[in-house]
Amino acid sequence: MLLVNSIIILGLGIVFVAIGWYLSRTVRTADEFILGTGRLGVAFGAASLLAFWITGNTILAAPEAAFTMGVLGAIGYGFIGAIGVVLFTPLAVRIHEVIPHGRTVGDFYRARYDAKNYTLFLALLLVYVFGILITQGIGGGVILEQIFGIPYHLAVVLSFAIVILYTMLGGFQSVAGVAFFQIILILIAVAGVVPYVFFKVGPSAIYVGIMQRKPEMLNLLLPAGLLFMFGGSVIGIGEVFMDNTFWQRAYAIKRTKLVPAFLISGIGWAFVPVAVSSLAFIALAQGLAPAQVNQVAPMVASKFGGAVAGYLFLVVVWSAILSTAAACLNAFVSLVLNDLIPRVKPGVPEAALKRYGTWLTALVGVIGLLLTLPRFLSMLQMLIFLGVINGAFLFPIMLGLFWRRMSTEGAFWATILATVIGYYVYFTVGPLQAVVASGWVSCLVSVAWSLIKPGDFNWQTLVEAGRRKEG
Amino acid sequence: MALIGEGAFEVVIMTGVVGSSILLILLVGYFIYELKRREVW
Repeated sequence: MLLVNSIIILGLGIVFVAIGWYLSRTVRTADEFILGTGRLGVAFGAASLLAFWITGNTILAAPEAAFTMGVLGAIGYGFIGAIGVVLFTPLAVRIHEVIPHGRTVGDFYRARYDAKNYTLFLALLLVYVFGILITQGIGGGVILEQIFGIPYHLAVVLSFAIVILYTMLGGFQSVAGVAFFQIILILIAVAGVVPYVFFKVGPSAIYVGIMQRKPEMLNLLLPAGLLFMFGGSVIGIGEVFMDNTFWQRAYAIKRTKLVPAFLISGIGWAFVPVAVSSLAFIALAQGLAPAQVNQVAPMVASKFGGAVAGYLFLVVVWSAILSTAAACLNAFVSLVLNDLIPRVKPGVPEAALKRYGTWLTALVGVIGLLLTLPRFLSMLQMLIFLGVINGAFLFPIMLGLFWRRMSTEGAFWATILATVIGYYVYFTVGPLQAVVASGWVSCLVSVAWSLIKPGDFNWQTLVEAGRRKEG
Repeated sequence: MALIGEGAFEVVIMTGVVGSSILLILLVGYFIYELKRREVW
């Protein structure tokens, strides 16, 4: 069994690396490494967004939410991820308008605010991106070990080796192209395995089973579920707004295709966690209890769907983790290439900068791999922990894009206070409350400061900042 | 408790399943359209 599972993983990895290599042949400059060689249309744009946003968490934590919070957990998980992407749509359009020549979120933050804001933003963003990269690695290693019997260290090394290889070959071009095939695999399995298992057990039997064993899981006003749905949406929105992977894609997608690409991926994303959550309802109805609650979906898929369904699920989990890890790795390297290297070493030619990107991808990937090996973090805890940072930057980013009077000092102190208060609440009250507190402090300080001591930003600065690097 | 009815429960699940299937069809369809448009295939 171990051999078969390992061969599946290796085979898939070789296919992904081959696609990545094929797509990398036209990538020659650092710009192409960051944004690709051509503007993406609706299909590749939406697929690229979906492939990053459908993570290992979506496939495993959504059923976990449904298993612990019932129907509201399933709907809430769909809402949390979708609302961020849908709300980012007008921001993506605005980004193209006000900073048309940008490449990363760093371009915007540097030009819109001052040096101290930019340094703070970059420092926390790098921590965040690196944190996500490591959590994907740990999540992948743990899942493959616990469910599919592949030893943790082997699973992590295989995962990172494949991700590093295809990401370093062609940067964004390879990541976005491979992501398209990964999302197709994921959707084939979700659209195939889930209804097969669901109807095999029977919708009526599932509903009656839950009603008899755990009727509270069918409660649409469950307090824990409501807190999860609305508190968690701050994480979803904050993560999308701050995450460079979304900014990269906002620039990489053609301007005229932004609205359909972001709306399709936002609304479409919500279907996936809801569909996968139905496996958790089968466990609730049958009174099954997995050894660890995030294993509920693969456990049900294998138990009721048989070996084929189990392997298909392996493909889903694996593809979801790889696509997210690759997007994180490329986003991290893009930030360094675009924001740090030109400042430390000005005048590096484009082709040389692209070579830096290739080797930086390998270096960051190997560091990520080494940090992942000790397995010192929990995936979901880390995401919520980082959610405090996302919440803190939410309003400086949003208001900074639309409001001329948004103050530079206000943005700085809103971020600092939201982060400090957020982490205070995290350790004294609770994780989800901390994210909500961070979002509120970010909002109140940003708005109050800007009303009392308003800024007067000249939008032309953003256009010039983008143009400065051209040629 | 405001319990969801059996019909509504099935609608929620089927929305997820059907939605994922439609998404799959849309993405594959658009991909084929792009390939045809660019005369790759």
